[in-house]
Amino acid sequence: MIKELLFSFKSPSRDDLNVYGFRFGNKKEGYPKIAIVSGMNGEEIAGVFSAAQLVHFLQERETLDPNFINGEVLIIPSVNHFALNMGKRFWPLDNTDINVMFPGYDKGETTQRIAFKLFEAIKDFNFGIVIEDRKDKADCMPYIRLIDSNYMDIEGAKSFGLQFIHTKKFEPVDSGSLLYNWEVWGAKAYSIVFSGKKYLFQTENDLVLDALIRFISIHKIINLKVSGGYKSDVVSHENVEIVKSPKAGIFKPIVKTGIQVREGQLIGIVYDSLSGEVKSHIHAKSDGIVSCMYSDPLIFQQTIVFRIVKFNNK
Amino acid sequence: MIEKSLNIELPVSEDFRVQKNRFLPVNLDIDEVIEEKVKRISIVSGTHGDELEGQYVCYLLSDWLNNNKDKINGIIDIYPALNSLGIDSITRSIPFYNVDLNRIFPGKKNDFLPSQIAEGIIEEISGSDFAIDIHSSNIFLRELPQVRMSAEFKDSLLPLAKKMGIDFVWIHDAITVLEATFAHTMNSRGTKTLVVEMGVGMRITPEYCFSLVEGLKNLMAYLGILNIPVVNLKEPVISENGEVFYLNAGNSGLFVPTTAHYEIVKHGDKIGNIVSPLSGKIEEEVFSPANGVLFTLREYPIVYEGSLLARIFAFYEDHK
Repeated sequence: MIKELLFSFKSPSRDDLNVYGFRFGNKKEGYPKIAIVSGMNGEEIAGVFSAAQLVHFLQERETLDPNFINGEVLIIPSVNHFALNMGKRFWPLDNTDINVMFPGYDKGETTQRIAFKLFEAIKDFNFGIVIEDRKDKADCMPYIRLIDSNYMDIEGAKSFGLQFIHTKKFEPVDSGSLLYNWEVWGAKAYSIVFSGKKYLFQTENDLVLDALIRFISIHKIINLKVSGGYKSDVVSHENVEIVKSPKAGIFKPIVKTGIQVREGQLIGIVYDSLSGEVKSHIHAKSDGIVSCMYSDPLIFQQTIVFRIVKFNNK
Repeated sequence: MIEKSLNIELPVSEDFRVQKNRFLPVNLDIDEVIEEKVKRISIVSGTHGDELEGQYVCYLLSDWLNNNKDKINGIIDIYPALNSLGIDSITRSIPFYNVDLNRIFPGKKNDFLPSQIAEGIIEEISGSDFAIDIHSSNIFLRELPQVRMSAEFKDSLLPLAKKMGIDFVWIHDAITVLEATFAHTMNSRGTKTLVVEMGVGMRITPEYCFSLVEGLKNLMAYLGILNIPVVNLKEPVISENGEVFYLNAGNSGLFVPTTAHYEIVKHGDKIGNIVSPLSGKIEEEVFSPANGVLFTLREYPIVYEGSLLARIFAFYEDHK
């Protein structure tokens, strides 16, 4: 393993932004190259942790067996340390999102330059994985997110063995994402989405680490036999039931993500924030599995509180 | 007449709302106005909560309309604060979610709150014949009053911009990410929408505001929405007749301009220095790459490599 300084940015007053990659493997001919990126925003702590755990896993295995890795693995656990280190989500000076700046521009603004330097380091890989969080305040079961386009690789996404593969329609904002630009450049690219803006959930982190190891094993990048994981269901907005809160107030969930629910089951309560009275009982509208759940106790009217993947694709 | 046009309950004893001030022709109610099919213009601002130039423009325009009701021939809706939570808290994005409202249009009903707000705004303003979206750059850059438009809408928008007495019209190529803006969404749905950028974030520049209000009145006169004479205001400089040069920082530090905003500069003129407060040394001297007008100048001094320092517009014949 080589810990490699991929690029550096000088700050006016604080330490330099040094972005490191952990490069593994023997680059044997005929074996693929994979790059894994997380921590493009300062709230993707769970993603950083999972990527770092994969670094640790590969380092241990490679130490025991120098031929453990056939292809090449480049892991970049964190890009935006400046935001991570001060509790910000985006680039701290101008609040711009690195993950809408791809493929980047070497003569552009700071985050365009960061995206450019990052993309230069990872664009020529066969596989690309982005570990990211959701923009909204939601805890979700780890899932694979694909943008519905000609580049989408559903069969490849099944190699992760996660329960759900979610395909979403292309939106203009996707044009600047790493996921989309990787695909345009010719890589098979996937996004792993899960929770952990403020807390780490061991179960979810273990699932994501297992999924990453499974993927690189199935593609023979490492010499390891793994279990098959889930037979992934491919879902889109058509088979996800959106449950919204009709009232604002204090939200208390009754169920957790990953739980099976029945139509009509009470799954959450909204209380009046001043009087403490119940303002709304929230019920499941169909049978299914709770894949995402609103994660903040303060809730707005019409906020999506639950996403339920419906059984039998009803 | 002040109306609430979007109303979403907040968690603790408050409603999120967007308010508008609606002006109608004297002696006509809304049903009669609709029946007579008079033209409707929506003037919006405060999409970004740190941009305040539009606040003063809305005040000045409403003040004039309050005192000239007999001149109104159409529907004039003024929305000073689309991102009302942001305006009241110096927050560019939508607070709580940290999402840029002007990157999520047209929005969706079944999505998170910012997307619902975007959807509600589009629904509210759809049906307008025209819209003006007033921005003030951001806290980092000072901008000359300008109208920006995508080349795909140039034919319908440029004649309108020319009536506004604005300094500069910047016609840019279609950029996919900008398809998620308010203006692109409205233009795609048939409302001719102009984006105004001027001044700097968190401040007001009164002379720019006075000038824009006169321009808006002239545009509305041209459109038949105001019954006042159309006058010949100054012709804007059009970006297609020249080239825009970007000056980005090559180093991090403190940017100290040595040239004033809106100055005419020559190739090689000094624009400013990037200095190091720690070492006491000049990290970089910044020079003009062309003969032209310094129409954008950095206001916020801290810069990283890549931070935009200035933009210069050069006519092709001067670009030597």
